Amino acid sequence: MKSEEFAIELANIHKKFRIYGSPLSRLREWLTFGKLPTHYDFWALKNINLNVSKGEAIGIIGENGSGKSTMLKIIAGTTWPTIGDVKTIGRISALLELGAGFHPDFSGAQNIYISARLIGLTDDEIKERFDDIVRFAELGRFIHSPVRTYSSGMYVRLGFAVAASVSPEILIVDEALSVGDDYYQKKSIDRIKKFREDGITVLFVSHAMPHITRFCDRAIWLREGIIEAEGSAKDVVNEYQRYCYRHTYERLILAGKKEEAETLKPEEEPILEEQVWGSGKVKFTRVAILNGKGEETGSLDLGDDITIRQYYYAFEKIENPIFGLNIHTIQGVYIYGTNNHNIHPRKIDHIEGAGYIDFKIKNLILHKGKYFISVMVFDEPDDPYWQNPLDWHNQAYEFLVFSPSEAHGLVAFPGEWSKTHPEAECEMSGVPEQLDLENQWHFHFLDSGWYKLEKEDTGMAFSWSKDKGGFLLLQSPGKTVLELELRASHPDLKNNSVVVSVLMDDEKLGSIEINSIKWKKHKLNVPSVKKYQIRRLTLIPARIWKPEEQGLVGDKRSLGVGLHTAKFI
Amino acid sequence: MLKDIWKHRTLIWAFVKRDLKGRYIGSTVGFLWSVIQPLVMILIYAILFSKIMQQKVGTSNLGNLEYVVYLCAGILPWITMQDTFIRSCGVFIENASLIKKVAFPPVILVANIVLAGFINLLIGFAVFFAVMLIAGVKFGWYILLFPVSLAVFFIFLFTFSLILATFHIFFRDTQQIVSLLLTVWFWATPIVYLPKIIPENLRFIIEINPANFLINIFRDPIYANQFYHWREASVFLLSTILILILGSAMFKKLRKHIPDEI
Repeated sequence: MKSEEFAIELANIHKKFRIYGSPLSRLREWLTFGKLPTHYDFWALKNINLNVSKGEAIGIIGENGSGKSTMLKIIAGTTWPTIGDVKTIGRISALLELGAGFHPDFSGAQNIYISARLIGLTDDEIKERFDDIVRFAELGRFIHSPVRTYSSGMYVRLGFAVAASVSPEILIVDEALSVGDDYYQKKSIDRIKKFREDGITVLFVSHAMPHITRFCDRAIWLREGIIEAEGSAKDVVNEYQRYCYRHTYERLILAGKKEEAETLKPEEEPILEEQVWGSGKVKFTRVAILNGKGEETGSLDLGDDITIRQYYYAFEKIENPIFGLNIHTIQGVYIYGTNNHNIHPRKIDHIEGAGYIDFKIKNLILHKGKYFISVMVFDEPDDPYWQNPLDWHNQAYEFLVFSPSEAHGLVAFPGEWSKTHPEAECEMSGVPEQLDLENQWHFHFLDSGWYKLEKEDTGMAFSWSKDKGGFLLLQSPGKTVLELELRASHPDLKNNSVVVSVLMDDEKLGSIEINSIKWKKHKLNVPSVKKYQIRRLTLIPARIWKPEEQGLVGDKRSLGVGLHTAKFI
Repeated sequence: MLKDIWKHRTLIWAFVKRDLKGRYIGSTVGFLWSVIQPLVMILIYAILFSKIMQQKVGTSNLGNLEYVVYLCAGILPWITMQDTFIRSCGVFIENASLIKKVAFPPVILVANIVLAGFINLLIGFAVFFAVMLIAGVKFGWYILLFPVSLAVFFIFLFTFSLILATFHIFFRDTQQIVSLLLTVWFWATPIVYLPKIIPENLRFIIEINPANFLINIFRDPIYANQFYHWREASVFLLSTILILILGSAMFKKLRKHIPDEI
């Protein structure tokens, strides 16, 4: 595709925000001409590449703070990328904030004039479109009252009406539809649909997933500033929703709110893919789920037998049909699939007219939960990707499983424990001899104090401890010094260093004073060992700081010290 | 930057109108207030200083209103400057939603404030001249230089407003510092008092005070009826233009950071 066909091209976009601890630290940095850097860099966007063709509608989804708004602002031209190129062709109308620039004391009509001029309409264009704007906003006689007397619904209606009057070539919609009542939402959705029909390129940010799937051809999922997934709107939304569901579920479980987790609201369930498709030569007419006693039911117990009975109607004679069946969890995890072709082979000579076929699973080892069944039938056993079914009902049937409350995990494999074997040699291959967060991302933690591993764009990797962080390290004979590479980022570091106590096997080794934001190696003597020994190391910073308390809204971390490398030498 | 201003001139004008009207919107006489306020102020000065206190300056032939002329030629531009600077400091922060969400050059917000302030100054001077002429004050021929003074003052206002507006984004104390500094500076400059009441050994303060140059740009044609102090005025104008160039360069460099910082 030639580049002229793209309405928006983002190439290698990075966006950095400088985060200063306090206003004074910025002054200090300026006065020393950057020799005393007191900020740390926050990369809101990392390596974003995106081409949007003319007339395409792209949905952008992601959690709050994932960089969606920053990306839209860069495209709208209200802010600039730190690295990378943005190219856009055509007039852009950004519904980033409806009613931006409205003056509360002026009437709706007066505000239309100012606001429309702000977004780039000329006087003549405004005169020409004024009546349309007023009509769309449906303000009636209120159009001559001050805007401060408007209800919030009237306010956004007017804002939307002005923004929609621009006749843009690129339309950017950021949560503009999340405000207002149902009537307004429907109206503005219709307006956006009309833009779509007119071949206008649309960028759409919303937390309302049905809007994304309905409007957008394509979607991208931003996560912590990078594109996590890109593809058809349906696929990306599915993937994102599964992630969200898992995330919420795990959080609730971790917080001990198990019951709440079990009753997650239905809209947090994944959007199911298109339910039914196929050539239609055969139709499933009903699917019944039977328990071990042969009773039709929607719920089973762990260990029960389950029979999935598929009633079909073949409109013509199908030779050697292939039946298939899948089971998914509620989170969309594909846990089981079978067919009568190569998994549980059983030749069926032909089907014609009505009939049913059973698939029986003995001893259902699934734990408590809700499961979805997909059924499908093919006439072509060699169909390589199972793409041309006669009929396919995707995740259309469900059943519940009950298991004892002490059950854990998804499946109940039969299993047993052995006795312990104290005669074995100590196995140490799981404990590293040195930590290097540059290359090593998984290591042993003793405490949960480490906030999280963060990778910086300079290639460094480090982690922040909260108030106490620990890890395991292997000490070999002959090594008597522990070397730790540490840094801190406290805003007042120059005047007030951070003292870190280092504990080995719960005994204090010594203290390290950190007064630099740069990585620095510190050495501590340790007792030597005769044979390999696993050491438990704990770092306890004397104080921590919270960016949020320094005015960095939304940065909820507690920062102590960063650890880069650790080893015995 | 000048290109941006020219390109958006109709928008700036719409903003200025909104600004001027917005102050008195909802009041009965509306825009008339911006005439009434300087009128009352000037009348009070005129009555107080010519009839009651009989303040004598004694260097011109303006009659018993000469102190009022002296005072107004200084205080009208000073009030404009003070209002404009303090408003400029806050302008980017107050309009953060516009700068962040609508792609348009922030410099026009500064232009808007400077223009609005300047128009109020024009109204003030119009009222002043009207009152003085009715009272029978005869100005000299050098009054014809008054438009030149206005032009120089306008450049000065815009230059420093732009710098202050930009500065305030990065150092939010700017507004408070400016407001305090201007109060001190007001009394360090002979606006209400005459230079001759300052003791001889302290008078150098006035001579090096740049605010004095600024005030003299108005006082020379209006009050003293003489041409500008050639050296002072040209130093003032040239340094203002130099600062304007440096300020625009600074603004251009920091422009990209503005949306991220407000």
